Amino acid sequence: MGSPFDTAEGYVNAEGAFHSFVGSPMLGTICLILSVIITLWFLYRSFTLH
Amino acid sequence: MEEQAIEGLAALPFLKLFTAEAYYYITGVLMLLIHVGFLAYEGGVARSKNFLATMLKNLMTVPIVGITFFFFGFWVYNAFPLFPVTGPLFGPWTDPEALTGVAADAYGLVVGSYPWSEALAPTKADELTGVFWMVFALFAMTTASILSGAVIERIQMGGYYILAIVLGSFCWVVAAAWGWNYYGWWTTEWGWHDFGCAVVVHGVSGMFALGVLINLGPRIGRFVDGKPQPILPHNISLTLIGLFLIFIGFFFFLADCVIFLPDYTGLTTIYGGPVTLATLAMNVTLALSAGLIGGYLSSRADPFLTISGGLAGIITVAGGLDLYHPALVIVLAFGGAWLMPKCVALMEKLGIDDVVGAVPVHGITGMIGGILPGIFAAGYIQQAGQPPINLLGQLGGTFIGAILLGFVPGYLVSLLLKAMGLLRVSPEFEEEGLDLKELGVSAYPEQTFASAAKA
Repeated sequence: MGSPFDTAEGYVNAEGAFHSFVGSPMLGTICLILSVIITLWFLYRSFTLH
Repeated sequence: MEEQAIEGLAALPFLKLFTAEAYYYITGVLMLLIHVGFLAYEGGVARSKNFLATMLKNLMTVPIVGITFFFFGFWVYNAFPLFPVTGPLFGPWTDPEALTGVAADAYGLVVGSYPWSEALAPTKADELTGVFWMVFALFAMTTASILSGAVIERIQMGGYYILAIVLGSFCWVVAAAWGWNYYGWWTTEWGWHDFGCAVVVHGVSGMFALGVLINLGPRIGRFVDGKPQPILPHNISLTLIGLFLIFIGFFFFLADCVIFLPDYTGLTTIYGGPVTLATLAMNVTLALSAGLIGGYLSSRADPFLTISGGLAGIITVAGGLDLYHPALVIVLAFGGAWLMPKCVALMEKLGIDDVVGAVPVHGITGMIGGILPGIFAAGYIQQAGQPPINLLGQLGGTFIGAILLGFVPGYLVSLLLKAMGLLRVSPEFEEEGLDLKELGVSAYPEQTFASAAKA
């Protein structure tokens, strides 16, 4: 997690992806799984909250 | 054919300039939707007896901040970036011949920021400074509007205007000079990054509001024997629509956080790093969505706190919006919005009457949003020779912005106003309602007459 670039030049002149998960795709996957869990939790609670 | 091609080439510099000028002009005007939203939002939250006074107070934020921002706010933004750490405070007293390096570069913008500058008057020599000024003035109005909602139904209009000037045309502008400026010393010295003004706008204004609320005190009847009593919005529909308009306005606000100049070959952040509108489109939409879900679940489907969650979600990720992966945005925005109703409850426990939740929604999530890039976007070196984005730098900027430029001046200026009897309306005015007492009109005259007839 963090910058995939070692220098300012690499970052400022980035041609491709420059987000902070470029170097750690596993974290992107974990966040995606968490996002799905949040969505399912929301759906479940929408039946039980009211 | 050849002649037409030559004519086309001749028009190219104008088209490049016009594209940038039109981008800021259009997005700037659409940012006014934030103010339409605040107007409706606050008006709906107020009780019917304070409806017009609440809306009028919010409306007058636009001229009072707009004009003082012209007098000195824009100069403050351009004069303070280096001061007091990496260079002098720029002003009419500065000798440009004595400046070298970064100071000389930064000073170039100062001469266009005085109210008497030619750059702000009709001129063909500079067609961009005026649109930048408008965008900044609207940022300033937004900042003051955040305070506006927290203090409704008991603040004196004049007292509010003074606070709005201090916050909207000075405090947040200093934070922006230091932390949302290419030359700002938070970035050049600490590696600070706050793409969407999480701290610079929201953290500063939310904590400024907290300082004011401590001196202002709660509305009559809000706490009885220390226990919070509900004072319900008189028109929740207006409030919900207002907040949705604020959401739309914030899409444009964040689009105006992008730098786009005629000779650029790509969009950049204020710090010089790359950014795309596609990133904003993805991340702002997802932050809004995840924030609404967070607010909904955390508040157990309270309509007011659910929709406030949308804003809390956007603010939580605003600092690193340009660098976060969309899946990370969902998780962070959800977390920030989930926390917000807990902070609202804590404020109640502390006996603070923050009518619209400005402190939790803007202050707390703004501070969180300022710190998060130090964890989730650490390591980016924004310009050669600068430190990378790091947690300590983010903590430092957040503390200076939210506490020293937000809470402290909010507390001190409101304390002074209180001592002078200029902060709060009389209990009689508050009981009877500000519409009739201050404005002499009622928003709902039929109800007023019906009540009088019954009596």
